Amino acid sequence: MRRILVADDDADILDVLRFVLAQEGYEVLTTMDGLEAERIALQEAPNLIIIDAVMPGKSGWRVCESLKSSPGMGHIPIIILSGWSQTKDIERGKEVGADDVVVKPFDIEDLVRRVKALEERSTGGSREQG
Amino acid sequence: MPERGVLIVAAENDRYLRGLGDHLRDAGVATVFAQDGEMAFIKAQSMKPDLMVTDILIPKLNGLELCNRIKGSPETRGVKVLISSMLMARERCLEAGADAFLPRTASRAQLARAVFGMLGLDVERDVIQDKLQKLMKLRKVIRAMTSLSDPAFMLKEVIKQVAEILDASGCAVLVKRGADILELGPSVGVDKEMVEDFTGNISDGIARIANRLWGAGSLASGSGTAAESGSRVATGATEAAQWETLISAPLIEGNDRLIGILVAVASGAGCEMGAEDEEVISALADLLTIAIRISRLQERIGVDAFNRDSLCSEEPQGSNGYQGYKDVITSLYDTVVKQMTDGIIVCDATGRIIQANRAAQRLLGLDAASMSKFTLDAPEIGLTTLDGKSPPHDEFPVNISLRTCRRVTGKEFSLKRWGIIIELSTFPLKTEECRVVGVVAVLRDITQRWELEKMKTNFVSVASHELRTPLTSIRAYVQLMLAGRMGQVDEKWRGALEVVSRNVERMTNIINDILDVARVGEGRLPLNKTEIDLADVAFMAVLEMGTLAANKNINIETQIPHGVIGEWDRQRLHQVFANLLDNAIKFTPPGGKIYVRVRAEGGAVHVEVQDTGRGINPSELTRIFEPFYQAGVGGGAGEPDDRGARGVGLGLAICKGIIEGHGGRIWAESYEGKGTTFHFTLPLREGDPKDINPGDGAGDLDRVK
Repeated sequence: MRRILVADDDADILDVLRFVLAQEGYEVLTTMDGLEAERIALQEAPNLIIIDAVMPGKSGWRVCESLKSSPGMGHIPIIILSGWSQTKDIERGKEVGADDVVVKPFDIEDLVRRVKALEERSTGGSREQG
Repeated sequence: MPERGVLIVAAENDRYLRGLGDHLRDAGVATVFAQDGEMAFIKAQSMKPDLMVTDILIPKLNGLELCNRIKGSPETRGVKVLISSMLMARERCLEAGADAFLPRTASRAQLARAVFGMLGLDVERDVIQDKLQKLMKLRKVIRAMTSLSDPAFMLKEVIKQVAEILDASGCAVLVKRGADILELGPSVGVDKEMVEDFTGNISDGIARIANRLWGAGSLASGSGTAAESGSRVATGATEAAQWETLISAPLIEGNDRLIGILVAVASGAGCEMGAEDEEVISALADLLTIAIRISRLQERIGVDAFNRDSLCSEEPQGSNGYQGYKDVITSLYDTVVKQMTDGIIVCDATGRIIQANRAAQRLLGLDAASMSKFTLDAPEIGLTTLDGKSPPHDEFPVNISLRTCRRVTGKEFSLKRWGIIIELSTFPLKTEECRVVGVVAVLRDITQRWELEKMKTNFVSVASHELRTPLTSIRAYVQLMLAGRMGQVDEKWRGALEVVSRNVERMTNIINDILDVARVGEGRLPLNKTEIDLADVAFMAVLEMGTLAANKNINIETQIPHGVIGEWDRQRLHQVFANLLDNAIKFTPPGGKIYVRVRAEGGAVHVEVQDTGRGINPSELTRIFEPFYQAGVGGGAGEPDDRGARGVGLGLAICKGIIEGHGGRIWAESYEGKGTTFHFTLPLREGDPKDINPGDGAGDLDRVK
């Protein structure tokens, strides 16, 4: 089963994402801490990561940056959830190598579509690698 | 000394004769008043005064009848009678037995002298007393002139004293501006309308004054020039009902330069000045001339104090009398500048510092000896942009003022030496032909204000961030429910959920707006500029808002040519169009029309969004671009006609921020009842200053080496 790691320090957001992604047939791993998110990612190598930009432990930006430069991790798509402004955060997302930046309060159906598209593209890519 | 004294017959409002009474009492003469002829006769019988002074027009018995009765009665035959009247009735008064007649045009001093004479008192002593009093009053005028530093206030005070000396109910200086215009200058007790006839064209004004003084026609044959006919002190009674006495005197500078006219009027009863007091009036006019000179000097010094050479050289030779004033004022001014907490710096035409006050020297670590080596943007001075870079030469306020001959205000720089933020404003020093000879720079430490603003923006930003988190899960769950992902939703539930959903969208928009407006206020609205065709943006917005318009049966007509290309932020300009259209739809009644026009002209593109709503009150047209301002709330013209008006009054403020961030301009035009047109412009090519500010190049021609 394909696995998605969701990291956000707001339990309600975590819940709603877990619900809808499970409904879409994913196994959902969750955490509310940035450092923990990085550890789970390295250990479990999920098919996709959704991470909040502002997290206790380590910010989503920095988690993204370090995962993208870790061996064997660079191909995992990362979506960053941002609570600030579109223009600036999209810039910053590019800098840290994020695959997408979604501004809160997001359109959840739109987010699901983005998740599916990114996950399918990368799974295809990793199969070629393997 | 007379035991019996003087009986004065005067109406309650007769200031002239009542004033005489005060004067007599001051001189130790017993004085009694009567208000009508009958009472006067009774009092005359009982007190047997030495002298009775009366007007002709008094109640019950007139002055002539009263005089007849006094002279005809054995008890009162010995009472001397002096008649003072506006009526020119000397003969009839003498026939009635009066001992003397004085017209009201006589000054109060003349009247007093006549009375003292008839009482057999020492007239000369009183005359001296009178002159002394006048001198004391003149001293007050001079004191006002020399002790008050605010020019307008000083003139007001001087004219007040002059009016008091002249015993005038109104006093004004008609100031000569330019070659041939008389303007109402400082005045007291005179309203504009009263002297309206005299202002305007100088020779007309003087002719009218002369008419009032000597009667119509007396100047008709006069061939004198304006200055000549104005250069006479004159007093006279006028037949006009407005006032009874008018005094005029020319204000003459040097030997023959007319700079204005002093006009004094007395309504009701007489003015103290008679024709013989010409010297006093002339002296007052001279004092006023000096007062005006001082005030003009003070007004000018604002700029010129920094350049004492030009101050002195500009004065025509021969006015050395004022040099003393100048020196005093200039040195006072220097002291003020020295002590100010704001830094003040004077740069020469090349931008080099030539003077710095104490605060500026302290701020910039300069001493008087070293400062002339530097320009204000030199690295040694230490001013940097807020992000720590050295200020770009061409954009530095001093250089802009030198180049364009314009002031630059409120530019912020950081000063590492003290870890503070400096607000820098610059003002060009120019000669009359607008030749820039230097720049005054004002430096103000605004660290505290800056930090407060930063805190405020930070707060808004954090608050809007914190509000997004709870909205996220609300929005997500509502969406999932509406999509049927959480089980079947019946009609009633769906309706309720849609309301929740719509209001979540509204809240999201408001939060975005608040964040935007905070950034606009801070001047850091991020713009993501790419090359786009404005037509695409405009059409997209019209398309989106089309449904909203169609629901109200409003037709949107467009004139939008393709190919208007520029470097703009697509999303932000879309926001502007959407906002303006949303407003237009909101304020247009059903069945109305909205026009969107785009056209390129010169270096800019001009956009109009016109509605056929009720229009906006003209007084609100600029205020509507202020944050949180809502047109019509303060009793204005239009109120949004749907309850779902989403705005908190931020939309137009954001539009303004976006357009100005692009180097454009936005404004509104409205005719009440006929609708409103919003205009904005965008420069077509970024970075070409001629497109943004067409006037900017002009200063270059006048630049001094």
